[in-house]
Amino acid sequence: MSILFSWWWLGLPLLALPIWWHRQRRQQKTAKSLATARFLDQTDPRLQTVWRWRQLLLLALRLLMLLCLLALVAGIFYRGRGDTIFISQHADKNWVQQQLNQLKNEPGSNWSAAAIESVCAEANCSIQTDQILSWLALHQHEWKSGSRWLVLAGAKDGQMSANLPKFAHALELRVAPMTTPATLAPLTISVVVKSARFSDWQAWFTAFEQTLDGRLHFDVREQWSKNAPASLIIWESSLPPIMEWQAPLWWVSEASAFPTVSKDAREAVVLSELGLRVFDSVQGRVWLKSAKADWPLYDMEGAKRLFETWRSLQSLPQGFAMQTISVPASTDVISSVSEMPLDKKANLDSYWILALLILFCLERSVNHARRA
Amino acid sequence: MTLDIATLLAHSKDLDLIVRHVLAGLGHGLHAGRERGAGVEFSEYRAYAPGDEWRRVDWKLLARNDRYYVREAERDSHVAVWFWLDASASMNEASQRFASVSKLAYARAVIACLAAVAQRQGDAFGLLIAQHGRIDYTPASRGPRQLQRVMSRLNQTEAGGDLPDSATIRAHLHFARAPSVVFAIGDFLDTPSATTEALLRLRRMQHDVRALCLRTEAEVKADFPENITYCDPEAPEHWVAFDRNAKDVYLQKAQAHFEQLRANCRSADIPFLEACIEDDPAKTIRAFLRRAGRA
Repeated sequence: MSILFSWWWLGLPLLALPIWWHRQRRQQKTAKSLATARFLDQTDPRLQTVWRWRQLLLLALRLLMLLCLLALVAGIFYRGRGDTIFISQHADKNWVQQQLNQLKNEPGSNWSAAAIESVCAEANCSIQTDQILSWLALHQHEWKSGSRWLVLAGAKDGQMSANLPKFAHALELRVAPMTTPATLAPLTISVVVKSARFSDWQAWFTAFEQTLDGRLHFDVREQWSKNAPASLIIWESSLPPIMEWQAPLWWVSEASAFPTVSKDAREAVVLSELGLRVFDSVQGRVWLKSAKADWPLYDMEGAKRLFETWRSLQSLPQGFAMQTISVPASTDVISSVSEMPLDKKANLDSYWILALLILFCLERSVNHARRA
Repeated sequence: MTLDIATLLAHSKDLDLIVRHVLAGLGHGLHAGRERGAGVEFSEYRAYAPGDEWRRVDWKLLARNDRYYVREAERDSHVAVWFWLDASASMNEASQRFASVSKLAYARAVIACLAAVAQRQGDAFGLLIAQHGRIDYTPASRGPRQLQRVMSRLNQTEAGGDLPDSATIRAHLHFARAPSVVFAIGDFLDTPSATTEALLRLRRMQHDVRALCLRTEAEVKADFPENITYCDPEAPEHWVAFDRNAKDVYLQKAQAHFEQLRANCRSADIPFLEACIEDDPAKTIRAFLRRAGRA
């Protein structure tokens, strides 16, 4: 793998440039003194190229800068790490100890010689990240070819991508079992219903509450309150709503409730199947029911589709939780820094960037001092 | 065996030695004899110093004290001799034939000889060295010590810088109150200048002014090595290249310059002599004094 980086070293001849610049100087030919020069016409000074070593400190700094730059893009300077065990600070300590003891007893695994790195987002950890898999993807070039990784993570340690990660080194990810069963607090969603069928709507939401095993709790009210902002307002009235009422989403039965903006109501891909049109008002987005149909208050299938559509448009996408996996070293890996996404490349090798910065400052200072 | 004085000048910086050789060749009939008798009065004894003439040693005093003493004589003279030496940077121009002989070295030898003549004649003589935009002033006096002083000053002199401006020169012309003979020696390349104006002014004040213009053979013949970049020592940014085409222009300009200089001196009644530094200094001095004598 490392051999693929080496083509950057073809840039080594660039080092000849500062040497060339430093050695080559054009200077005026020495003129011989002639007292009667005033009787001759003036000419331009003749120049000649002189080869001489000069400004050795400046030259050394410039060469170092170039070398640093090449090392940065070639990215082979860190390629010295061996087998490593990453221990998340969120993982259960007893479980981690148990895993480490188990590794010692495993014949032929040779994990005892592996380096141990602590992982967390805080500064006291040797690796500061809360996304260890992404971090490994970025820094995998720092490990020697054939190295192994063992990650002992907690269940809350980040999320995984939907794709199986591909690394240059074999990865074993062990996730600590949950010490306590997940006790997720139900998410409360505030709903304001202005309808003659308030109790029916209340029952409608209660039914979904029970179906979802209490993961959602609907606070259905008749009045809007500034202190408890509503996520949804159901408006079954031909009268326009009170201007103070605000919600991200409105379910409106009569177009006359929003006489001015309801004309702009348009079909949407998902909503048109439900017989709904959508438009935006100053009080929030409005789903407008067609005059022919009613809200699926008593239709189980229709109610389910409406509810799922609402929830799917409201919820953010969720990642996969950490799972125990074992991934062998992939041959189809990111083999060069240059193939990495640009935004990630900037984070690479901060030490070399720092060294480059320091060298640049030194070079400028020495250059300035030389001129002064 | 006669030693060529030009060779001596090239190989020795001992002005005293050069003076002895030059003056030995000059003979005695060329100048007015030294005044003796009424005008010469004993002044004092002083300890013998190397370079003093043996005939001035008081042998009776030596017999009494077993020490050498020299009799110092004083003579009232109404004529002082002043030597004006141009020691600007251009006077560093060396001869191509004798690499160690520069215009300054030649001028130094000429002045030393003339000073020795003045000292023999009992005249007071002083030295004005123009260099680095100022004038190095040695007051006029008589006697061998003054000669040593002048020679010492000449030996210390290194050519450099520009000639002084007219204000600086005017500040040093207070000697012009008494009648004097002024020997001005230089290359006179930057004429008209404050120096030539001052010389003309002195001449108008009835001083006896004589000019010796020193050149090199290469300058006279425009015989410089080609394809070399040259610069003016008094204007280092003035770079020139000398080639076959430039030679004619050079000769024309140089001829015009020195023609103008000769005409100016002629009109001001200043004896003007041109000499090459490759020439025998004795011949140059003889010619200089002969011209001066005719003036």
